[in-house]
Amino acid sequence: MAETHKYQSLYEGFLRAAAEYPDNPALWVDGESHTYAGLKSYAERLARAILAQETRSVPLAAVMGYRSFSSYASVLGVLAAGKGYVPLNPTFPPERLRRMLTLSGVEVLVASAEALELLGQVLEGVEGRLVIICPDEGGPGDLAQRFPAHLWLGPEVLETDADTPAPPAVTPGATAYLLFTSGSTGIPKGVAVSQGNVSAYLSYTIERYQVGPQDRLSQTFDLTFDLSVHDLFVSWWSGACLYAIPRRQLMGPGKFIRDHELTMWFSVPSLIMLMAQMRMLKASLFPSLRWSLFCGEPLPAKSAALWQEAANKSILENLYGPTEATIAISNYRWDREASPSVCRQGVVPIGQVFAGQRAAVVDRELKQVPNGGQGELVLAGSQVTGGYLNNPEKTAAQFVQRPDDPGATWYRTGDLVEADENGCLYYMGRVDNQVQVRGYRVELQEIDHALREASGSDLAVSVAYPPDSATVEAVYGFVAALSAPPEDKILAKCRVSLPDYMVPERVFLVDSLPRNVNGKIDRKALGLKLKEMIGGSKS
Amino acid sequence: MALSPEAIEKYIRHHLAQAAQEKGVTLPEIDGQSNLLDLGVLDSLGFVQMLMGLEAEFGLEMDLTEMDPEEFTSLQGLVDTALKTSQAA
Repeated sequence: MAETHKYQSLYEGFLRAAAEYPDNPALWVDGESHTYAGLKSYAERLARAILAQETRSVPLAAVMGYRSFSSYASVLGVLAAGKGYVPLNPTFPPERLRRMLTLSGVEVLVASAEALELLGQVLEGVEGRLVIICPDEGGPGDLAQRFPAHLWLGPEVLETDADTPAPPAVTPGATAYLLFTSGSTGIPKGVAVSQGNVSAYLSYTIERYQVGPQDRLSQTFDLTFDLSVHDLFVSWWSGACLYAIPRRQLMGPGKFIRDHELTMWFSVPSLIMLMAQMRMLKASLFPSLRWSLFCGEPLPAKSAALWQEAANKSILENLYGPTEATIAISNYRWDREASPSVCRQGVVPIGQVFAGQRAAVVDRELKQVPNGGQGELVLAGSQVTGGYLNNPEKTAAQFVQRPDDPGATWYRTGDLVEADENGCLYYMGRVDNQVQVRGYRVELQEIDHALREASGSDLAVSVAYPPDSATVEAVYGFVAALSAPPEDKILAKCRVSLPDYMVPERVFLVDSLPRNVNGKIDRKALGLKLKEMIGGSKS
Repeated sequence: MALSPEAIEKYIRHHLAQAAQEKGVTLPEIDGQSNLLDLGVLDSLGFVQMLMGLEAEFGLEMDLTEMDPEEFTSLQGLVDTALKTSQAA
């Protein structure tokens, strides 16, 4: 299908809404509402400061903050200056932030008050001269004395009366935001998402969900997680209001949803799994929600069904998409009656790719597998990004040409999927989560499913030992549950549903499962834990 | 175990100390206002595990549906929530 959307840059989309709804609330954060006109004024003043102080016109600028007014407004300020933004998350370790800062090559950094303490640690060992704008009250504080090599500016730079320059024209190929995904080598890979990529996503999404000025959207994702771009700009292109959920409330946002009568919910499934554990999902609890969207990790069917009852008037969709293909690229609409029996391994399908985007299920030679077969999901279309920042080797490995479809560039997701006869996609796990146990090919996801069933907990995961090896000795289970049955009961149940070679060697009942920076269950960290636990006796 | 503010607080402190030991970190000083998620000991899932352990220990079923997590994630707040539940039952 041909694409019909009209390109606009992230900031143009915001400007259009701000012109139409200047007095509407655009952002609720820290107990206060901010109008479109207010945000626009802030963004323009910050943009002027950036353009006046920079010396090298780097196409990117960094924003470091966490769920504060200035952190959101600074994203707009950077875009208003015609640049792409690089979010730096103050909950990350300083070493990682230093890497991100250095790899991005930015000259300008906007740092909110809540980020300053950590910024001091990040700047240790950063070479070169940065322009650091601290727009909140109090300015840079003592950092200016501690790091005199940089140019430090306080909130006074926002108090200019200069004329508003026309926003610089931004081409579809320009970077809208630069994010980092974890690389297998431990060095984060930069993914530059273009204005054209994100414009395609937003046009499709706003049209599909008919988002308008009456809507109130959740903001659950940190700015370093690309799903946050949906939160911010689906809101700000539509005249809707974005609700930044305070950090502590994220573990049980039910009251927040009710108090603020949110209309669109978007989060990782883990968040609702946690709410389910605390019995926070009761029938008809969230009548204000029109849409319930989930993305970022497999959505267990049980969690989807529970949420659907709580948000009983909403339409629930499971979205899927890697950062490299811009936010999300496929969706599946949950149906109370039909969906539970459609789910495979107890996980909701990821559905069909968006109109205008392309997907194929391929084998190792990148040739399409017959329908119903398993293979790697590859993606093409206007949402697929141009590759990794300054990393031609990795780009060439992941962004490829296919023999049966010359001309297009396909992104290899590394995700293992199956397609049914209607083209509906089922996520089966990571291609590299396929391991060989005693000569058998095993999908760890299938064992996860058996563990979930046997333990009654959605927080169950299997890990191969030794980790990072294609041929493994055994698989171990980890279950985090309030009232999980004892290990021998879980194993007994697994033996009923799994062939012998797939039954975990042991199941460990743990207090919690490690999460990666985006809140997803971190199988890699569990692998290391496993190594510690049993490594001594095995090696 | 009999339900008293002291017994609940003791349970929480004991759980935190254990979690800190498992993680290999030192448990900071905790007073009634301390938010239990800010100690660097429990993440949100760990907190829920503790909550469930607390319920099992004292035979409670807390209703958190209408509550702001801010209210039940401080030491005093959690003790109060547990007591309130037992009085309602």
